[in-house]
Amino acid sequence: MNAENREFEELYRRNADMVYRICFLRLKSAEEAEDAVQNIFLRYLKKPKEFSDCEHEKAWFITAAQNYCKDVFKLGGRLRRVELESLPDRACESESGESELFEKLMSLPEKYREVLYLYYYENCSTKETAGLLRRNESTVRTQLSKGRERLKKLLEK
Amino acid sequence: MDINEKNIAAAFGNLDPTEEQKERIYENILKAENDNVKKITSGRFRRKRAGSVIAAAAAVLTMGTLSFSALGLIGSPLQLRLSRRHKRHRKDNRKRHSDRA
Repeated sequence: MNAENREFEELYRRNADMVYRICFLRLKSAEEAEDAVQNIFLRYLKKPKEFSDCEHEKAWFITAAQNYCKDVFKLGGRLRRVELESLPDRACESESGESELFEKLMSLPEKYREVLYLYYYENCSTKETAGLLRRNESTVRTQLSKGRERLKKLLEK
Repeated sequence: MDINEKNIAAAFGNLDPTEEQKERIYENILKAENDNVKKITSGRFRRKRAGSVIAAAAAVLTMGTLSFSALGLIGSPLQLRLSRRHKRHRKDNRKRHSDRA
């Protein structure tokens, strides 16, 4: 294996999970998320970018994932939707409360789901989240609180 | 159930792909790069997409045929109405000319 390949493998290991999660959040299908990861990394391989730091790299992959998902919706929408109960298996294996929360999170509207994911899981600040999603910072803050509110209501039901 | 930072982060953690999935994706990427493939779509997806393209083409053809036949149906009374108006117009013109004369 040459140095270039090793470098790409490292980059893949660093970002594959994140790209998959973002695509799954938007496309709600494991197969489509897999296709998305493949195509995003293939796009990178065709036109390699020079990243100034890890944050830059992360931001590029987040934006690429979002743009790819937008394209999927534009070119025919959600062709294959998989029921939430069947995906992913590990959610069912983990504690029941956690899997319930996961199910409720997935049933939230996309705009709240994305913001909650970037803020809580990727540890992005509201400013960073706003930049990545091309939204206003105050909009992101409102969506965060509304998302939490909705989640609470869903869990109380 | 209490909603806090840890809970939400843990719930999102369930989305991670398995190691097996990751390996498969990685191999597919390298294979596609070697074969100079531009875009990867899974077989099932492709079949479904082809199916939807055929369905869309059939729908367009049906709509086209229907609208043409509909035009044919409404065409004749429309033409009739136009020619009647035309005749009336010519009659009026003739009358106006004769009056002037």
